[in-house]
Amino acid sequence: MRPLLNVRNLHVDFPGGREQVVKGISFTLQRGECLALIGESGCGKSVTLRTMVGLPGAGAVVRAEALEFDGVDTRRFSPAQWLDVRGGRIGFVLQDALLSLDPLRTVGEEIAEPLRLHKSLTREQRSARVIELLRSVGVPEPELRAAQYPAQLSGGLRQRALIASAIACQPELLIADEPTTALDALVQSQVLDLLVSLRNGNTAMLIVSHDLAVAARLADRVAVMQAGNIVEMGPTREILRNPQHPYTKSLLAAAATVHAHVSVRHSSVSVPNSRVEIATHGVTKSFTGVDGKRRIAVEPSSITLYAGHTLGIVGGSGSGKSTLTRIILGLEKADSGEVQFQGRPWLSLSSAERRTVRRRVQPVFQDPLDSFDPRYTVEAVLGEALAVAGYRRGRTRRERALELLRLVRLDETHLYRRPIELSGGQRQRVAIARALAAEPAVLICDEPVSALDVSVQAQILDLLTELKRKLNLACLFISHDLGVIRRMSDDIIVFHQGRIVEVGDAEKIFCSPKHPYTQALLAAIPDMEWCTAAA
Amino acid sequence: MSDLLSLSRPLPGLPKIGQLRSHLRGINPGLLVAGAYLTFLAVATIAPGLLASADPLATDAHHLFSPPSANHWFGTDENGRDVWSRVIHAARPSLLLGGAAALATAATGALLGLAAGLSPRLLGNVLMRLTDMLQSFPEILLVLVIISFWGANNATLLVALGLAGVPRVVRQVRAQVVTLQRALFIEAAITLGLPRWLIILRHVLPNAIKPVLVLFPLDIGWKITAVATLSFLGLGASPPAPDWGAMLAIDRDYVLNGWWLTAIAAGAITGTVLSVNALGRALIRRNEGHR
Repeated sequence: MRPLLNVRNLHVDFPGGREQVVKGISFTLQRGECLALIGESGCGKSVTLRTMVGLPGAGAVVRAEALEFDGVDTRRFSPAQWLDVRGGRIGFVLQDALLSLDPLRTVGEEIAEPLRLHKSLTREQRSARVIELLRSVGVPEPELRAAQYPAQLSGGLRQRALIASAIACQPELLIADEPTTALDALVQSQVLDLLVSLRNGNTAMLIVSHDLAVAARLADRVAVMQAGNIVEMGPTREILRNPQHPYTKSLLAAAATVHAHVSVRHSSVSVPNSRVEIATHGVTKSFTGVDGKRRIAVEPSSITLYAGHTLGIVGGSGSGKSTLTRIILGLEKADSGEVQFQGRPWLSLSSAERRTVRRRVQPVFQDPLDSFDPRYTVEAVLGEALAVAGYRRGRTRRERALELLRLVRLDETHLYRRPIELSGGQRQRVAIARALAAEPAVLICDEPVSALDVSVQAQILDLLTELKRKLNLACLFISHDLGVIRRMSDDIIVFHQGRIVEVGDAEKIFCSPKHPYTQALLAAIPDMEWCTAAA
Repeated sequence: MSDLLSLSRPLPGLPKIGQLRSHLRGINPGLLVAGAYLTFLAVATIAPGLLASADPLATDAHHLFSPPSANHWFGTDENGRDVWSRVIHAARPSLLLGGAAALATAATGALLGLAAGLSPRLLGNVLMRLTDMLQSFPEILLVLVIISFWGANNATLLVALGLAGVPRVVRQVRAQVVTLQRALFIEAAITLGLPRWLIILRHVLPNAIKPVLVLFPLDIGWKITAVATLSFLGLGASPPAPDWGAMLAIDRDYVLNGWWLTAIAAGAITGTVLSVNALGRALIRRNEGHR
């Protein structure tokens, strides 16, 4: 049978760039088949995907022996033919849902657009189909959501809306760049189910993922990319069970460390003896939605965080876990309740009083790049935090900055760079160094590794574990990745719809969850061999 | 100026210029011409005497409307004055007034925008509605109204031209400030315990005025056109003083006697505005490549 996609010896380079991005890769894709490209950021996965839809990027030079979609050389497509193919025969899901939805159009309009362009439907049929699509990708209240703008939706909902618009015209080929990265386990599982059913319905799929578990669930074949080459390709099971290439082995090993079954976390500190760093009592928060209804973001919740301990917070997107951390950081006002820091009131302080204590509670955000002033060098970033801790401009401050960089395994060469010139992992290290520069007692990590490559994730998690132990930090750790949570946390809180549904020892919750929501969450993890090894 | 244009093209065979060429490769040639033209204008502004030795005000009844020649590169006008010299000497008032007015616009706009973005909602709204009112006047009409009230002198011109365009900058800066306040790096600064004024000074203001800085050269171009327009209407520099707009206004009566007079004055204005705009656009493009 003629393959739907036939790529032979594809080269893509950007003249003036340092080196070729894609260096001669070949693969084919049949109808109803799913091929996953895996590899670290910068290995050429995304450029390969973009080349398939004729959008390799400005100034790119594409060479190939064959680059065919359904037997036709795509390089011969006229712009008009591409318009017909994109969104019609090929659906494309970009990674960044925030940037790829038009902020000025409602989600419904966005999804209706490909239908309007490629299908002749009446207006009523179109809106019915939009609702149906939103429902099929697991968007609750589709009628309400279709009328909202992207900015009013959470990241997970936006990602799902994007997928809905890509599959609106039942494309023959669906191309997706990290389709489930931003989603929590339950929604991820729902979206994966949807993609699997599409695949079974004879849609071919080319996906990029750094999550091996996702690739395992979805892909028939896996191609491992490294520095622009496919180093290994074969049936998913074979590659994941019996990798041949050393690079594939290292990727699998890194993933295994992140999701280590035997956790290395348990600290020697026993709970009752250590100091309470943060305690919240009955904190609540609600927001007014677009429809004028009050939505409760956080119901009365009380948590306790001990020195040297890590408290993991688990929950779906929009479950209120971020809101609670923002309240603890003093970035958001609570409607009621109190937060205590080291036994003293914290929320009820005036902002001037709180300012003097603020540096003792430091955040590490998901997107390190956005957390730095774009004009600042690493030296300036660290200098600002060190100034807060009482270091005056001069030699000692510079030496302390270097010391911090070494602590997070960076060196002097990084001091004079801007964060934008660093890799994702290096940026997160700088962010951690900045948090430590302020000499905090509490670290609040909101999805600190979810934007990073698997191997880098493992390094950052190791670093956090080590620093936590060395400095006896209390750590509030939020992640939608249950493997990461399990590895890092001593205790776990499960959040669901603004409410704490389960609290307890991490290992106990993972092996015998009590609340139905926790049970569903754990069951939804793509790789389900959780308790076997630990038990 | 034509000799200058040919100089900006590298001569073959000379090794130094060859190096220069490899250095400048990738820069669009139009930008190169614009840069050369502006450099020339800068010299004319700082030291017009270097480029034109003749007195721009000296009349010569024997040589009215003489066409361009070796003695008078751009010919002479209806009073026998040397046009090359007048064009060169007119650069300073145009550029200084244009530049100062653009600076005034940017500074006022940035301050008001910052205030509107940071103040409580009610006050911010009042500021923005006042800005709307200002914006509802066509800019040039606003300038004319101010000048007809306070008379045409440099101070009034500066205020009038500076005020025109302020609403645009206010909106830009306010929008930036509002977005920036929710930026992650501002929150990071808050959690460090920095006082609000320091955060504003260090992080909000410098990032908020970035788009204003990028559009600044374009605004200079607009101001120079406006200065010329006002002189053309007789509201700028007073007659004997050399001024591009005034020259254009007076010389158009003598088109049949000396067509080059209007052409040269118009060319000087057009060239300046085009060059400044080219430079401004190049800045925008460069900026778009970055975050």
